[in-house]
Amino acid sequence: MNKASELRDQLARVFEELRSGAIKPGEAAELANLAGKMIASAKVQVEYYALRKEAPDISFLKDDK
Amino acid sequence: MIEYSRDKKGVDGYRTVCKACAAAHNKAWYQGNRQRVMDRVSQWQASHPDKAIQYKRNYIEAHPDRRAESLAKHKPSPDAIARAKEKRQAPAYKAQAKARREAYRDGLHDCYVRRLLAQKTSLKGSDMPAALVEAKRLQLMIERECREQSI
Repeated sequence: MNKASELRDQLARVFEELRSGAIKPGEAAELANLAGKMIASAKVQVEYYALRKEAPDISFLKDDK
Repeated sequence: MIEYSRDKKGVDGYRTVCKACAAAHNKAWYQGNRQRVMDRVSQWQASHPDKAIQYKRNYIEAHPDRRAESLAKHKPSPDAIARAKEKRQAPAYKAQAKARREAYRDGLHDCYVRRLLAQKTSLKGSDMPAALVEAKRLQLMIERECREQSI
């Protein structure tokens, strides 16, 4: 999962599976926790570029679609 | 060299009017029908608020210098700022604002998710990229669903 769009699609799938009962809440919570860490990491990169007053060049946030 | 736009239905595959003339014609038409265009755009924005906001956010992300220019140009007067501050102190306003914030929180509205992302950073919610906001919203939805299912 190298792109935010892939993470988004994965999270959407997890949400649907959670609602349908295909996965347990504990498992979904762990996946959400992991996603939160990835989001926090990307956020730090955004803040870094903002503080340097540069245009962000973050591959994770570039959309292939 | 004069440039012509392509046109599949044209005899030679090109339009009969050159790009410069077409641009001048379109500009003149817009000047004569400006209000009609603005009304149509306002109507579309009112019926598609989410898309309209996303278009604006994408524009601001792509053109931060133009945004800064626009803000400096339309800066409110000190009187207007003072009046707005006084209005925000009124109890009725505060109650409405609280209800609005709760609705945004419950619906995981864009502004709520952006504010959450911007916490403990030097950034504003509007600085957050749209892709990150969408991922965060989904994460919050999963966490809420897990909490509900655990109860």
